[in-house]
Amino acid sequence: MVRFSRFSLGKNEYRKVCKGKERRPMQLFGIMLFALSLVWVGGFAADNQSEYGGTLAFPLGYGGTIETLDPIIGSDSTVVTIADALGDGLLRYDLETLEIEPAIAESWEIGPNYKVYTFHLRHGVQFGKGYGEVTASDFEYTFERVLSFENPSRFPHLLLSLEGAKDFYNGKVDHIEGIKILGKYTLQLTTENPDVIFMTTIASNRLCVVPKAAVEKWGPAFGSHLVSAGPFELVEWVRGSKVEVKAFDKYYGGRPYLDNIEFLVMPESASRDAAFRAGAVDISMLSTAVYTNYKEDPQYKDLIIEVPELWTRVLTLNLREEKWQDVRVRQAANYAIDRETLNKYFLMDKAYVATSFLPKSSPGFDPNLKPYEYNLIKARELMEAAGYSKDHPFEFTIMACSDPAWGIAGGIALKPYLEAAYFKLKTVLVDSSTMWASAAAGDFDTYLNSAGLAKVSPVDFLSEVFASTELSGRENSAGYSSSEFDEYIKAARQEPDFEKRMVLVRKADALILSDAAMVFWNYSKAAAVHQAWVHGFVASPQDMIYQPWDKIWLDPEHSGA
Amino acid sequence: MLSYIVRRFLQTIPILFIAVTVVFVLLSVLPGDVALLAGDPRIGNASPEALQRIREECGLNKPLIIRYLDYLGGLVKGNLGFSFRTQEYVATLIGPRILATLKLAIPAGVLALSLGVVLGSLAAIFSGSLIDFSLMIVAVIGISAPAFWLAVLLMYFFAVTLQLLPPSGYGQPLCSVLPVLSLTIGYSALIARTTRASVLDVINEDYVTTARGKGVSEARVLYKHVFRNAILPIMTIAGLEMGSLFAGTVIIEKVFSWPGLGSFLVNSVLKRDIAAAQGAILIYFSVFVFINFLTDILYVYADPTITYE
Amino acid sequence: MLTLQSPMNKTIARNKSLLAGGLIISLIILVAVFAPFIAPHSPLDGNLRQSLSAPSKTFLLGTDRQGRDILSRIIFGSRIALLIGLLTQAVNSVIGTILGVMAGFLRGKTDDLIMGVVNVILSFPLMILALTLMVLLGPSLWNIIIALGLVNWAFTCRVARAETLSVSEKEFITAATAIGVSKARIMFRHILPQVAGPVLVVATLGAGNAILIAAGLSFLGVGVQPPKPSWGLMINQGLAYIRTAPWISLFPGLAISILTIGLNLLGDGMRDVLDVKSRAHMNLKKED
Repeated sequence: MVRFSRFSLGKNEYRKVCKGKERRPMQLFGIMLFALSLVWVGGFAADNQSEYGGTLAFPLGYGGTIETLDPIIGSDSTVVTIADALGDGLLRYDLETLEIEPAIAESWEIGPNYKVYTFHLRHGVQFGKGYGEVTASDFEYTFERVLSFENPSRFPHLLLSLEGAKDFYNGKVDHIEGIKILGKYTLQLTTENPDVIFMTTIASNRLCVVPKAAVEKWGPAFGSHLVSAGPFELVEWVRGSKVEVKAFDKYYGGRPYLDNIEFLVMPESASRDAAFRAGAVDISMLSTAVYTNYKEDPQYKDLIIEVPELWTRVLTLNLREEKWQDVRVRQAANYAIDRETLNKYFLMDKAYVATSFLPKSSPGFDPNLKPYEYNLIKARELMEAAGYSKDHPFEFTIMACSDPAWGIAGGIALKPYLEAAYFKLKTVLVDSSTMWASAAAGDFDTYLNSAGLAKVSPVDFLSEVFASTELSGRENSAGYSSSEFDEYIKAARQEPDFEKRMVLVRKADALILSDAAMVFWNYSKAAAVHQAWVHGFVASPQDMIYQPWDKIWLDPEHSGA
Repeated sequence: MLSYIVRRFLQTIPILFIAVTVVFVLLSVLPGDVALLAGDPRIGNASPEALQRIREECGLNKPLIIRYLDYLGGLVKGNLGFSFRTQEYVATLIGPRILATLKLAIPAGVLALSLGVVLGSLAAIFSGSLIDFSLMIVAVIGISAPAFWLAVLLMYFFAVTLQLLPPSGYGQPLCSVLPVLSLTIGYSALIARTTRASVLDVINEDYVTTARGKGVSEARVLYKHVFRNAILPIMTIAGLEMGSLFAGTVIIEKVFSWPGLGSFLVNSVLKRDIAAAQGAILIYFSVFVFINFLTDILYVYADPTITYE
Repeated sequence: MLTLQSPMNKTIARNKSLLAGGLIISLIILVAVFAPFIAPHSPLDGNLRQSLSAPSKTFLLGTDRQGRDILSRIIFGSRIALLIGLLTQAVNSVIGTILGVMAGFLRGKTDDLIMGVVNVILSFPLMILALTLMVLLGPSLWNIIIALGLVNWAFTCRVARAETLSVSEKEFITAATAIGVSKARIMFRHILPQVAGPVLVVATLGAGNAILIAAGLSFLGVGVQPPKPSWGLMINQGLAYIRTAPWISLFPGLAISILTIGLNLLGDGMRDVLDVKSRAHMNLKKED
């Protein structure tokens, strides 16, 4: 740099020269400042452009209210979806493909006999609300809680396959043999018998880990203050109105995109519909009432996500009753109903014709299996062979709840078809509590339900409903009992190879079909419409309300809200 | 006056007592064990021994009289029972819901009273005219049309079609507009009819004609002689029907998914959560008894011709 | 004493209400009686392929999701509504009148007991009482009638008692007692006819109220069971379709409104005709 002495030049000239020369450092400084401010402003604007931020308004349709936030006590799927946001367990499902993913357990080994499972937990996973780090003993505590009678836990059966679990549940011992802590971050689970689908079971979204300190602090009120290690933390639960959660900064998977989620209680489908169209909520589960309307609406039709769900709608028959034990009658009932017309005009295309019990979206579904076709003549022939006729019809009662898709309205829709085939039926409306209680007690003639409980494993899906009780036929309200079926299931539970297992599953499913164990009607189609500014919603076959909360984001213009 | 208040208050106690007993018998005894336990999460898995343990836990194996006394004792301490379904005490569940219902009932009551009295008086003053006729037609429609249907219509027009108001929700003041409006219509129609009849009766009394004859201005006549006398019967009806207003929230809350006591009761009923339903019903009864009590006190206070024996 | 205004207006008012109300009710009764002949389609059998169709020439008020004609369902639904109104009020009137006359005539302990029960019942909102009973009994048309019949007689009782009290003062009663006519005979032959008028008014107005409550219960899902064409139930069924098929909820509500308007007008007119102290409950303090 050339220096000019101020003494060699006149003041003005000096200034001129100085201006010229010193502008360079000044210039540089100015340019630097300008660049910095650009970066600063640009960075600020870029922050506005980011996917982070915003509040998601998610309406929940079922049940009229949320009973509890504790996924071990509450039965509805609403409980599970909120627990998904608040918690994580050892494993989780990819909600779209239903494959098992690591969650808090980052790796695992499966023992040779499918009896011993060793999980290695991530280090440094934090509980929400400052309850510290998640360790293997926290999982022991959580699982003991699931298997506790006093709790009261509704889902002990998820873990009853563990060694010593039954004794623990019945209060005979105070420690579960099959749970071993091998280290701060190493957990070993051992099952009583070899169980090839144990991993699928343990990934259930109800098994999120909970901190002992929080449970003991809140006692029975823990159900309103659920704490776990998920992407969000609970902000508040306004009973009957909404549950609000906010992003958990220390989530091991990184902070989720959304700032907040508001789960809104909106049992009236008309309200949800109106709220969605007004832009007040970000997604709306479409009921049969408005499904067609949205599919034809140019503004919304491309924003619909649909998926065949893991639920099968059936008319469950009480097979303990003598009159239902004639397979011809059961088959006649299956031939008598026109599934295509019913699905098109009663369910407004929001369902798929059912073949057997396994739904379309199940890995065990056999596309080559043929459903009962609509054949009134064949139905009548079978009924006549069984000794029934127009003057001497087969009388029975359908018990149903008030669900619009698979409740009493369905029974009323089925009636003309069945009555054309020498059946005579009466429908009875009951509340769902009474229906499940009666079903469990075997105190019914037939009832309409949406079955399967969205079980991910097809072996479980089938066996829960059709296996005789020794083999975990917990939901076998019909009283179906077939040794051939039980054999298939037993073999499947011991078959480690996936494809071979599916062969057995398909055989079991086909047996149910030929036996006409139930009247198979349709597989549920879930459909939801979302606002254009919401991204990340997936077609989730278990239940459309199960969404990957940490991966959902809003367009930047909507993030500010 | 004070002694009357005390006496009247004491009269409410046997009534409440009877209410509690009736509700206990109807809902804690008659449904039977199976129904009462239906909500417990463990029912699905329970073996017979486990079922027995659950029964003991819930106190269902105790003799009836003990259960009744336990229940009464609990009530005195503010324990409305335990809901097995949600594993929460009913009192915890109910508190915020009562507040939510009050947020509908009180504005609706105030609005309906004001509207009803004004319109009814107008009809009476201009009796025989078109104003009277049209107001009374509207009033008859108001008390005849089912409130829940009007609520559905309101929701259809304002929330669905015009999208001016939210169809449901809680927290923002706008959310309460439609439910309050739905409640107000029927109630104000009733008040209007009562007001009209009451004012008309008074307006034809001799002392009113006398006052007019004396040259008192119409406005003063209306105020000093007509209204002050007409207000008594209006007040009584208003008070008695206030209880109906509170009960009317039961259905309106369902239409708008308003998280109040009414939707709580309906949900409990539909889900067979008998303990919760019982608690809610007791609250409704208590509120009603209390409102009647207040109305009686106000009536006696306002009517100087009544002597308290 | 509360009276209406000048005789001229009274006549006009009485005639209008009575006439209009009577006309509406007669029409509805006719519709109910001749329903099978008037209804264009079956109320219970629907054609699924025509579900949710808008009002048209074939289906004047449209169809519901089962493909059933709304108009036919409304027509047949009038039978349910009228049945509820009639039977509940019949039960209420019988119980209320008997107890009210006994209380008013026999006085003393009987009166105290009956009035005590009445006061207790009147302390509670009808809707909640009805709901409680439906929880216990379970949803059905007959359970509604039982529930409302059992709890809604208190007001009738009070009115009957008030009438009995005023009639008892009359001379021919005193004369009859003096002659030695039995109490039962007096109550039945002399008092009852006098009481009938006011009780009829209460019953007419009460029928409207009962129908509204029954509709409300059905709307909530604890009332009449499907597939019966209960108007309240139809409004419930149409709620989900309010945007796409509003006719399902709209017309049944209109039907309920018309019927209740008719009953209210009729009751109003009858009350004016009889010049009855149906505001008796407002005098509760003065009479006790």
